[in-house]
Amino acid sequence: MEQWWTLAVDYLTSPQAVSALKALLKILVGLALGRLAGNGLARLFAEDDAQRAMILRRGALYGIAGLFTASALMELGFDLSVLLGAAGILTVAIGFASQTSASNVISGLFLLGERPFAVGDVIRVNGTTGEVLSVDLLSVKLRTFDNLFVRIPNETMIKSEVTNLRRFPIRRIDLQVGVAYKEDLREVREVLMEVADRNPLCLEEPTPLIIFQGYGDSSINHQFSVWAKTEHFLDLRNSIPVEIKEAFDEHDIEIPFPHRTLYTGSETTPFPVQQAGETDDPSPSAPDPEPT
Amino acid sequence: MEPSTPNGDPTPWWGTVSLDVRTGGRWAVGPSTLWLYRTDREWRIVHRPSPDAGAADPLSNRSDVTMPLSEADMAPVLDTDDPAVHTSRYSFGDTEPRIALRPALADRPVVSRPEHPLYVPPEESVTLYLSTALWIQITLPDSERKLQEVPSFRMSDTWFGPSTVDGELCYATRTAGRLRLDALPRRDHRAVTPLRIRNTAADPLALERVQLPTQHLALYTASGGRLWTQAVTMTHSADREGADVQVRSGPPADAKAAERLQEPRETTKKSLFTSTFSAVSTLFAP
Repeated sequence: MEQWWTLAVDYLTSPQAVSALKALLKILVGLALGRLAGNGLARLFAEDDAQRAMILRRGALYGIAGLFTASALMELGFDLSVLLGAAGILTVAIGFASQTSASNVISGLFLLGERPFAVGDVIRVNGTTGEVLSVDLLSVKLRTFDNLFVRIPNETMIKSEVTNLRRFPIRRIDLQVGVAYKEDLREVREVLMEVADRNPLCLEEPTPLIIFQGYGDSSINHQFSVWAKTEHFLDLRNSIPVEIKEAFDEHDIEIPFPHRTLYTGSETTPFPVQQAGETDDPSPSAPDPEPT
Repeated sequence: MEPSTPNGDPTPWWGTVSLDVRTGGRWAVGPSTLWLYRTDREWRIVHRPSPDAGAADPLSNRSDVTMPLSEADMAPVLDTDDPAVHTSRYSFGDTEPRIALRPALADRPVVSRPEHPLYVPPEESVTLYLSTALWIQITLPDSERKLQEVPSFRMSDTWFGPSTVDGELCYATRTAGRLRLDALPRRDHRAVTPLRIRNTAADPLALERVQLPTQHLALYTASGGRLWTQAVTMTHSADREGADVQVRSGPPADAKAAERLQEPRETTKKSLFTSTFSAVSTLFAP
């Protein structure tokens, strides 16, 4: 027992143990300093920018902790130049083995540099729409509007089309409006413009647009485009159709559904049509349009 | 509330009133109607933006106060489930009897468009009288607590700026562009801004729209109860696009004796802004 004790004391007081302790202390100090410096930098330079704060925090932490770790390794007697050389060879090996991760890391750096979106923006990638929670080393994290967590690899972000829905302060809403062939198109335009004018969320300028889209199968089609503040996009998108329908009803403007006319041709006799409640004299009237 | 002024002007709707417990009052200001009702534990604010079910008419000119209203008179308003009516309740341990209604200018700039384009020839200056809708601030004067703010008329939003990417959200209003003060009808829910436009450039200046920095303007009340803002001068010079906008300090020259009623919403050290007159919509292709 006595021997064990002296052996332990010998080990603990040996220069190697002291330098190991010093190295450990250096790493701990490095981590703490890195965190402190990151927080300080974030507070100084990125008070209201969540993304820049995140980058500053990470950069400071990794940089300072890395330096302290290198110093700790030197304390332990490692020769860093040898270590770096070994790391070079190792990097090639690891690079081949972890191509995906490496490409994600590089893509992440490009994403941070290009800044197509920031934390808090709403983006659409490959059909997924959500709010950006964070831009990390390997992936971008999104929260979709049905509250799901989506992780998109940075490589995918770089390769595919990304739409930022919150970049610009105003947005346009395009509505397809079809009216019956019998309607007066000038009146339709006036009614649509009045609807836009009455809705306070609909911007007066840029002025609403009505674009003729074509003579459809059963209706004359127009595109009605109104502008809204990005925050009010959904409100206006939901309120404008209700108001258009009300205004059309008020002015007796018909929004037709697809019509199909049954025609038996001039060679044949017309369809006999009988109205309910009538028993005799089936009048050979024109066939009624029938919804399909 | 003060009694009607002798020369037949309508009673101003703003001021401080005292209401007993379980009584209320009704304020008709422009197109909107406001009810305030007091119980021992709460103040209830009921606001209806338009007098009837349809859209509000910006030119409707109402300014009347009915108070006190008993609980029975208020019952149809308090129990309403009309979606056009907005009710808010403010609860207190013990309500104060005094409540104040104060007019305030819009919280964003107002873009005014003349009904017909107005041209200012070179080396000429004109004064236009523009009116903008007011907000109604409801405060408890004894404890200086602000309860709510409602617009007397909700102006439409509009975008003012060189492009859809860069610009500012404003309120839109149309103006007849009156050049004479006596031609301007009196509307108690709107404040008048005398806008002087000077054209020092060599070309005539087409006024298609004017952006008034209402959030930087103070509100004044003249003897007849008419509401004024500080005067604004816009100078268009040859060497630059747009105009320099300067807010004049003190009451406007048309109402020198007017008293200051409300401070500007946003105070700024600079009294100079820049603005544009020309159409931005030409930039927007479909």
